[in-house]
Amino acid sequence: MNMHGLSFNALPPIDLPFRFFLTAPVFIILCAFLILFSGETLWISRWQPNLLALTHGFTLGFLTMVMMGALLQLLPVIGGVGIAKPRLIVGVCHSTLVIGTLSLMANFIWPSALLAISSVILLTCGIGVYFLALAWVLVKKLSQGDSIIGFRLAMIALLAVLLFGVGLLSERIGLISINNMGKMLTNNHALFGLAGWGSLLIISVSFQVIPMFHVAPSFPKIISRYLPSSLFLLLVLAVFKPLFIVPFIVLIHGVFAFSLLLVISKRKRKIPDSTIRFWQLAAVTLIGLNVFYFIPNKYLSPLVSQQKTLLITAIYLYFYLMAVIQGMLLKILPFLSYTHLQQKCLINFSAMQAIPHMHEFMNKKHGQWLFYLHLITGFALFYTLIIPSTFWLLSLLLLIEFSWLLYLMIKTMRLYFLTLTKINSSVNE
Amino acid sequence: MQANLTFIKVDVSGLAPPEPMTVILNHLSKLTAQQCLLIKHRRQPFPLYEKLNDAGFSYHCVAHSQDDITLYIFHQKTQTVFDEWLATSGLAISNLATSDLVKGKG
Repeated sequence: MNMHGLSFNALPPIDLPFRFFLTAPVFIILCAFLILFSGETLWISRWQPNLLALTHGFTLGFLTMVMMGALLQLLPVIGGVGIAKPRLIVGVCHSTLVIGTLSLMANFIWPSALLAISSVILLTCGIGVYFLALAWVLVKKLSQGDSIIGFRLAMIALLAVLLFGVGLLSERIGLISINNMGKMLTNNHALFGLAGWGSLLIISVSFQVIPMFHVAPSFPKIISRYLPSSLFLLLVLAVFKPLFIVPFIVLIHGVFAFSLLLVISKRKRKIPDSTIRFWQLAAVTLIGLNVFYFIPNKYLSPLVSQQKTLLITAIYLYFYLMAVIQGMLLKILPFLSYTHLQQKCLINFSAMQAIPHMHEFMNKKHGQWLFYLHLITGFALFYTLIIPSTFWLLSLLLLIEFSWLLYLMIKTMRLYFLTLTKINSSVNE
Repeated sequence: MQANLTFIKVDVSGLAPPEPMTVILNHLSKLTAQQCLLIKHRRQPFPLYEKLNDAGFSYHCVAHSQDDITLYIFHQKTQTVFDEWLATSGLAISNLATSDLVKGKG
């Protein structure tokens, strides 16, 4: 393939992804207070209204928020094309996602038709507009084909999550009747959300970012080409035969975990790196979950076995999805800051001296602390699910971990804007 | 006319971002009109492409495979010289192996 003088105007202004990133930890801080004020009863069952609010705070408020922001920047970096009218699209999507998620969480705690209708309209608008904007990019032929196919499938999964969710909310306020399909819709809403939108996107992103950021070999072709499509196919089949298909979804995550560990182990420069530790934690978690999932309940303590589904979901969410997202944030925040500043230097090479070292954007030790905080908080979550009276500890640890993440983000962004001012003033001199 | 172009070879394929961009910028800051930067990279540096033209540079990229890229960057005023080199090199550019490219000094 030859690319000669193509015109790219793809990298959106840095404040747009930063807007998503900065909002995400605030949602978890909010969730920490929700845990604190809900008490032990929160953990009785997955159908507890406050637990549903908490789950959506994590999945929509944190995971989706970061992933939507990250995709805006990753597509131009790895595919060379960005969304049209990024400021307008982000303005609409970010604000509606924030208010829509808050409405949805409030609706679980204090159910009302007004809150339910608001959340349906706002989330449909936010996610729908984002879907259309990304679809416009993803239907084009881009390079890095295998990942782009995964991105497309993840976006379709996001649309399915939205449709299932809208169906469930509409049923709650009496707009439609879904008879006895409520549980099926809820399960598929969760499955497509976590294993589709969340995991499929992470897997597809990993095919690009692990070799790129960590100078590792590419994933085996059989994995990068067929694993995302296979996972998506399994998700579709799970709608019809969940009991038979879900074990295969668990297994395919195990396959990804082994290939991830293999690729990571072959990276050229094995320097200590918190992002790698987060990826390794995610891979080990997926392997551990395979073991846990397939162990017959009779070998587990009754305390554990009666909460098995909730435990698996929580571990998957916290030690896999959120671990990877946090690891990625540690890498892409300084990378984006640096790349945007470097672009300015093409006009004025002397401005390169004004750019601080990468580690000043994200101190390695600070990244390590985030990793340890994540581990401790994850264990506290596990413990709270079995012994709910420790909810206060989980709340406290979440507050500390995500305040720390927020601080690291603000620190990076502050340095970016300070350096930008320096570069701009040197250009004007 | 035989293209009068000196190729400065840089291999950034073993570097982690943002080091490749730093190395490329350092070389571009010293690149003269008679020189062409020949970069061996693992991926297309799209964020760099975005600004090269505005900064007075042209580029030409040959993707040998998904993770093996050869990128040429030169001053816009050198475009004709580069095109001549490309035409007279006698090689089908899309089929070039990296080793062939390195031999193709002007």
